[in-house]
Amino acid sequence: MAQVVAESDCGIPAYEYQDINSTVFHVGTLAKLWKERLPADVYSFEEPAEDSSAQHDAVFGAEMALNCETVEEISTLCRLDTLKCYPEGESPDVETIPMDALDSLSSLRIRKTKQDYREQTISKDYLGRHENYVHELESHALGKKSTNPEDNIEEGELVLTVNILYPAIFQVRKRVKPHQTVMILGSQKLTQLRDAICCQSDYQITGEFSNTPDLAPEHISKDHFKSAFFYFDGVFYSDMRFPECRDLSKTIIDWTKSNERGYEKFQTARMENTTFCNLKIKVGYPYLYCHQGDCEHVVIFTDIRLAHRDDCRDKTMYPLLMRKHWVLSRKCFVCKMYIARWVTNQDSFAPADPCFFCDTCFRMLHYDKQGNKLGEFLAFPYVDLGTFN
Amino acid sequence: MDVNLEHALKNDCKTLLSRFQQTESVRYEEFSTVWRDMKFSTIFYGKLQPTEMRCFTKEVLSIATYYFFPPYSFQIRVGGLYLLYGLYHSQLCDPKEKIRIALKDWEEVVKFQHDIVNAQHYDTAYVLKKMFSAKAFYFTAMPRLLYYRTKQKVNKHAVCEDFRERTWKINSLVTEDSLEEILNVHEHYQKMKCAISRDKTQPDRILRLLTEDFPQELQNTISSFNRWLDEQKKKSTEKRPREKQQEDDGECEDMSRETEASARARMLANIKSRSFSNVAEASKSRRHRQAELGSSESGSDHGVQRKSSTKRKSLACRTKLAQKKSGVKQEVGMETAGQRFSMPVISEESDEERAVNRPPKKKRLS
Ligand SMILES: [Zn+2]
Ligand SMILES: [Zn+2]
Repeated sequence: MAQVVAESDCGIPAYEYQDINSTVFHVGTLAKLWKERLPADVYSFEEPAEDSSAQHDAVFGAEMALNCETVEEISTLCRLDTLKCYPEGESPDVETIPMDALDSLSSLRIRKTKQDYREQTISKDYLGRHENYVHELESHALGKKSTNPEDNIEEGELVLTVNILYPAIFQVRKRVKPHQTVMILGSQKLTQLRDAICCQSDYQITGEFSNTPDLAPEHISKDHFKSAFFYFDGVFYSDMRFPECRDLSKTIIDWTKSNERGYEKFQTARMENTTFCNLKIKVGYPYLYCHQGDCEHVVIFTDIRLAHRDDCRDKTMYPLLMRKHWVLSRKCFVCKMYIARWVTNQDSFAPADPCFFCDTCFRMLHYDKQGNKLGEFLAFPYVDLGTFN
Repeated sequence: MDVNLEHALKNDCKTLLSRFQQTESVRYEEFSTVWRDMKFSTIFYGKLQPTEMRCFTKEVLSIATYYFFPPYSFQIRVGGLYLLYGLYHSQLCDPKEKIRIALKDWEEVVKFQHDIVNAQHYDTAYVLKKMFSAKAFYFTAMPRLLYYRTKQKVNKHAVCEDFRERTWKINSLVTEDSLEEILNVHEHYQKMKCAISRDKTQPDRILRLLTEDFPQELQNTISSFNRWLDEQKKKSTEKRPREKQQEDDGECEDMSRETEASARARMLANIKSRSFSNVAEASKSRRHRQAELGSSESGSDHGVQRKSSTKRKSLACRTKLAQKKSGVKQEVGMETAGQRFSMPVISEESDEERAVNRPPKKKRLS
């Protein structure tokens, strides 16, 4: 009666809400359960041998206790050629939708209409910049291996796909919210994900420097305010790597404890001591990443699976950026060429408030040759996220 | 992806599988004939940007994967596997997009593999093994990527009724348990009628409101339905890759064909002979729920189940249990959140208890 245990209890994730999110499960157990169930060769990274087909047939024959001729017959019967829809040499170009298939395939008819429309309205071979960029990210690391064997991931390793949404303040009203997608390994630490998250608020420089533009610091806020936490399923994972780090979750936990607000007891753990395999999470469920005190990102694990032979196998390439929202760079308002380095408020020279300038234009407009401030304005150093595209 | 396109893709898959269904075969040869006739490989043709192509391929594979799992019938699942084989190898992505199998669905793959090997569907087994060695699968936590898109209307996979496994619909309604219960109730009913009739050996004419051999008729109907089912199954498994194999393993196959349906038929026959031949005997002792199965049934857990089922449970309750045990799980299948029904644990009753429990019933009855 071992099966009486519900699936969620024995670590097999199921749907909590159909097609929305899974039940809670332990990530490391998922890998364990898969490896218990699968024959090792099914998830191995071994490259196919020269005579892999013959080898496959021999093994199949042995398993089924069939003689060579029978196996050969079955193999011939199921060969990939049987899927070819045109005789040898008559196959049409794969970029053209064949007219003689339109009758039998309704999806082709829809795609033909779309393709015709696209060809009429948009110039040929149009490749959106964004489209191009996404593709490059997705494919740049596929199947890559490290020359150092120690840096290659092990068979049976877990690969997690994480979506990190940009905080609400940057949100545009669109169906797809701006986000970045990262692939990370089960054996990696939460801090490795934290360091891969790219957010505008980490790149802000605090302070007004209109009187002393040369003294504007190089240091960005990331270097000043290092505290951050993830919140996954009842546990706050805080980054405590540096002595100046503060446990940001403490305030929240204290708040929930006061006045008995009806929250279950939250736990705390250290981000740098936790790997993804240690986590208990739901796939598809919105969690939280908080840094810079109050910059909050929704974090969603969209997929967890065993690593595949075709994945990037160089450990050092992870976390692997798969997709990043294209951030439009702020250009200098004067030259319209260079990316902005300064932003001004209440600027008597500027046509807009706030107004963005590159370093050269900013200085030429606001200071005389000796560097004396002209007119009234407030100036803040600006770091554009677009420079990280 | 575009809803219209998604819908069209589903339709194309359904058309292919429905044509495969009409062949009443599970042979790959039949499948590939339909595939070529529909020019199914061209589903990937046309100009698509690389990212579009990946999304499109993922979607097609995801749609096809549904047909490889319950609640679809064995034949459709075989067709679903061939469809995945065809799509996986015809796609134009490099490296190829993979087929996702979730941990919770793995058990079904194992069972399926077991079934095809047992029934000696070598072409099916070959295709499945070939896909494993081609590394065509991702072994995942969940069947699809999940983005928590609650507001966006998620297109749920609507089960295609024509492709469903049909057997359990009737068999979950009339199980061995419920049939036995009907027999017992009917027997009691007859006796009650006799008891209040003038002639104590048969009910008064005015009380004969029900066909007297109703349980037997029902049993006969079920048996002939099961025989028909067996024949259907035989038909669909008959056309084997090569004639010549038929001789050497014909017998073996007959064994493997001893399917659920025929096992059920045997069990029904067993109940039938027992209940009807024992009517007189049973009525003497008034053991109206004398229900142990013969030792011929040992090894099947149905027997064990019957032994331990409580004698006090109402008919409705027992029917519910019986439904739980049989097909209903399949119906629920992939749609509900992976719930699995487990066998109800019912404590065994002692003979004393039985004795204690019976008298009030007797009183009530007579
Ligand atoms: Zn942020
Ligand atoms: Zn400028």
